[in-house]
Amino acid sequence: MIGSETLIAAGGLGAAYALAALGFVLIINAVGAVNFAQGDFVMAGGYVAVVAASWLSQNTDVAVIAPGLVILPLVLLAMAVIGLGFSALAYLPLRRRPPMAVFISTIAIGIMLRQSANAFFGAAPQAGPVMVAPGLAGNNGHQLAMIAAALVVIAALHGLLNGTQFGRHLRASAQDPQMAAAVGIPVTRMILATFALAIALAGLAGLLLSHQYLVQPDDGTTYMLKAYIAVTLGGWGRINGAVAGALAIAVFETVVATLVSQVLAEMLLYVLVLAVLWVRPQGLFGKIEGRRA
Amino acid sequence: MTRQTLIGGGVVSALAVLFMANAGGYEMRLMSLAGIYTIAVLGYQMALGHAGVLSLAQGAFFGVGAYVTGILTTQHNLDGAAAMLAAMLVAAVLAALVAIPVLRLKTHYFALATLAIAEVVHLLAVNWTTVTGGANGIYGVPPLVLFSIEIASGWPLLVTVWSAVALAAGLVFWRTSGRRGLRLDLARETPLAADVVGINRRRQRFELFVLSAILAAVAGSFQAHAIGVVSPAVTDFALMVTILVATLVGGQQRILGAVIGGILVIHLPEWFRAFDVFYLIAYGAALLLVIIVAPKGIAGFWPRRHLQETHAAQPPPALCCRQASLHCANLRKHFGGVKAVDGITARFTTGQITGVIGPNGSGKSTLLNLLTGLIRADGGTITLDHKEVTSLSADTRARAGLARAFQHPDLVREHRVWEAVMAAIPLSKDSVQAAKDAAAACAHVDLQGQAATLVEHLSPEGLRRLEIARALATVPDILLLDEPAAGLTAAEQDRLAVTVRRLADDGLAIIVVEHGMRFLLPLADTIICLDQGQVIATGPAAEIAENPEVIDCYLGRFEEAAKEAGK
Repeated sequence: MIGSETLIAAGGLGAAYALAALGFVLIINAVGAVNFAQGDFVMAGGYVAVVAASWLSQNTDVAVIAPGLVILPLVLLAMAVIGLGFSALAYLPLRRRPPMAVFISTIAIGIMLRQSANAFFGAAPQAGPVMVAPGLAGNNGHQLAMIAAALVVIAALHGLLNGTQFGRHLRASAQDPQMAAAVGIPVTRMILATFALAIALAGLAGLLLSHQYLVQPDDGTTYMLKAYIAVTLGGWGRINGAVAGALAIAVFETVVATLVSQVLAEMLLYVLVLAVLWVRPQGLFGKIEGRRA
Repeated sequence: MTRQTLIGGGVVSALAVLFMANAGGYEMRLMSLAGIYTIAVLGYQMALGHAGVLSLAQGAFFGVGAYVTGILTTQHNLDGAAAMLAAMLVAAVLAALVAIPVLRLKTHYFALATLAIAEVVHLLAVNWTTVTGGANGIYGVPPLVLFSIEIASGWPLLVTVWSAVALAAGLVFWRTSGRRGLRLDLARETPLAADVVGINRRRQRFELFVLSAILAAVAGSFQAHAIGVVSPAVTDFALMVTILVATLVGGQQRILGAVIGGILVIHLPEWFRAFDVFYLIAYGAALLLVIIVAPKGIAGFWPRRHLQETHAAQPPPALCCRQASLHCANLRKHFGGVKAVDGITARFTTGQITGVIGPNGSGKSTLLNLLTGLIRADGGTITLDHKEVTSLSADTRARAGLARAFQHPDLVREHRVWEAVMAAIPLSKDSVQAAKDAAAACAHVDLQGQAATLVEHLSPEGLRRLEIARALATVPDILLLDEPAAGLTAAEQDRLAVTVRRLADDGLAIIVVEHGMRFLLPLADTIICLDQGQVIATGPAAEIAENPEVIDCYLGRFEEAAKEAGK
């Protein structure tokens, strides 16, 4: 049966998917290309969390009651730096080329991330830190903390994009790079900042997922697909739509998995996407004629 | 056959013989696998390189081929050849079914849809245990049997696989080279231009997508025999990535590229074996490097082959236009609240040049787009030769005799002039007739001496003339020109006017949208002036120039501006 437990689980999963999808849609808006490595960055964030948590437990004497929350800023920061490196490799050399080139370069980066994880951590799944210890907040504490962390970060992102001059510059660069450059906005720097932000969000998703869903080098494709689907359902390029799409996917997946099986949940999700694209080739809420990936 | 091809073929055969004489079983096995991947890559080139669709289902079709072969040979005692045919058929049917809803999608949705299909195939392979054997897969797939001869591994398999590579290469060459290739370039690089010369892009994409799936299935089928096992790994996304990497590294369009990609992708892991797991990281790095430094892949370092000019026409033969008329009645198109075209009625006939003028935003471009079918009307009718074409697609109208040149030349940069013109000629014409039409089209716009010039080396005037030549190559009855004089010098405009007049005298119905009155007023027989989506005046040029309403909304401003500029 579908109880509150299931809904909280769906909420936690949805929170992580939403973060990954947000990063995904930010990059789509900034460079017009799909970031095929987005899922691999979720996975990478998971490993950063695993490493940071083990360092934390080795170097602190008292048992930390909320290791996940403690390392959260660290994961964001580390992943933002990695995001900058990512844009320097996969975007800067290709910015005068069609978006398809960036699309493929992100596939290449995805392969490198996956294989690096495999080489350094091995193929066996590893568990990341719990957000808050069960003793502190009960059995659902971890998932509720996932939801809360995601809510805070999404709200902060919203404030950043809509309430600050930096955010306005970022959005202007995404909407019309030439016009933004003409009024003196450093567009390239804004795009780099977008990558840093997007990858930090993916990394955070990785941290949130790493405890309950474990981390494996091969996780990337699935997470990337979830973000891709969330953005397709929510409307290509729409930030709020991406969050809504991610939540819808998580609820659908959790409910079907609870009632029937995980395999059926995934299969049905893909079939559903195909059905949506069949009926509405422009996407569920799609209207925006953006640059293409 | 050029000498180059002969020498190349000779070298390759010599190497092959040398290889066969010296290689051990292990090398033969690797080269067999390389051939198998070459077949899959040849298929993928058709989808990605030639049709320009980023399919992520090529690996799934490979897997389908492997599973169909594995299941039929082990559970139903079918022989290998029959199983391979069945695999091709299943992949073709699957691809055709998928293509109908998916091929019309935009790139990013197309990639997602094909990826979703691939994931469904993979989930089925892993979980439909009774048929696929689940995670364990299918064991004991027997060797391939062709004409009741068993193809053992080692050199018999090697020769068979590479013969199949040759066949597949022949198929790819047949479907993507020569004039067909030029039309594929046009559809992929400049879709709108492809529409207005009458290329049916949907059919092109459909055909190439299905063929790509068939070749993937052949490769999958061979691999099932070669390895003897079919496991869910053949439907894994990693295999798709391998094919993608091989295609991009080798080259997206050249047959040589497929061979290079196929061989490299199989041998690199062996050569880098010493690096252990780290070689796979290098593999991703290699892909990144290739995209940055060699967008056309390794085969891109060889120069592109061009179609040679085979006919020259001097002086140009008269156009063979039919008596034709284009008529629109009460034509309407709204964009949100903007009435771009609001009830336009007009008639365009043989031998006449009709100028369409009006201020910016008056609906001139929308009218052209409606007439050519690039956008659909909200209301009203368009009649071509007494046949209604309002709901027909742009390419269908183009085949019915409607041609158009764009304001901003929409040409494939890597084509030569001759190729750009040849691309517009329907494949139903034999090569002799096609060459004649192309030569005539070039001669009509005085480009005959420049057939071998690359499009990217043409002057602005040359580009404009080439746009018109391409339109003429479709042997149209009606020609629409969108601001043909914009950006040209006075002398160039005068030369262009002579050309356009000559075409009308030959019997073309010509519609010219233009802002340059110096160019248009002496040239046009009739002028239609638009304002806010409506016709405000129609008549001979001299009459329109004096029309107070036209002066008020358009010409007046123009003259005042000229005076201002003169001060």
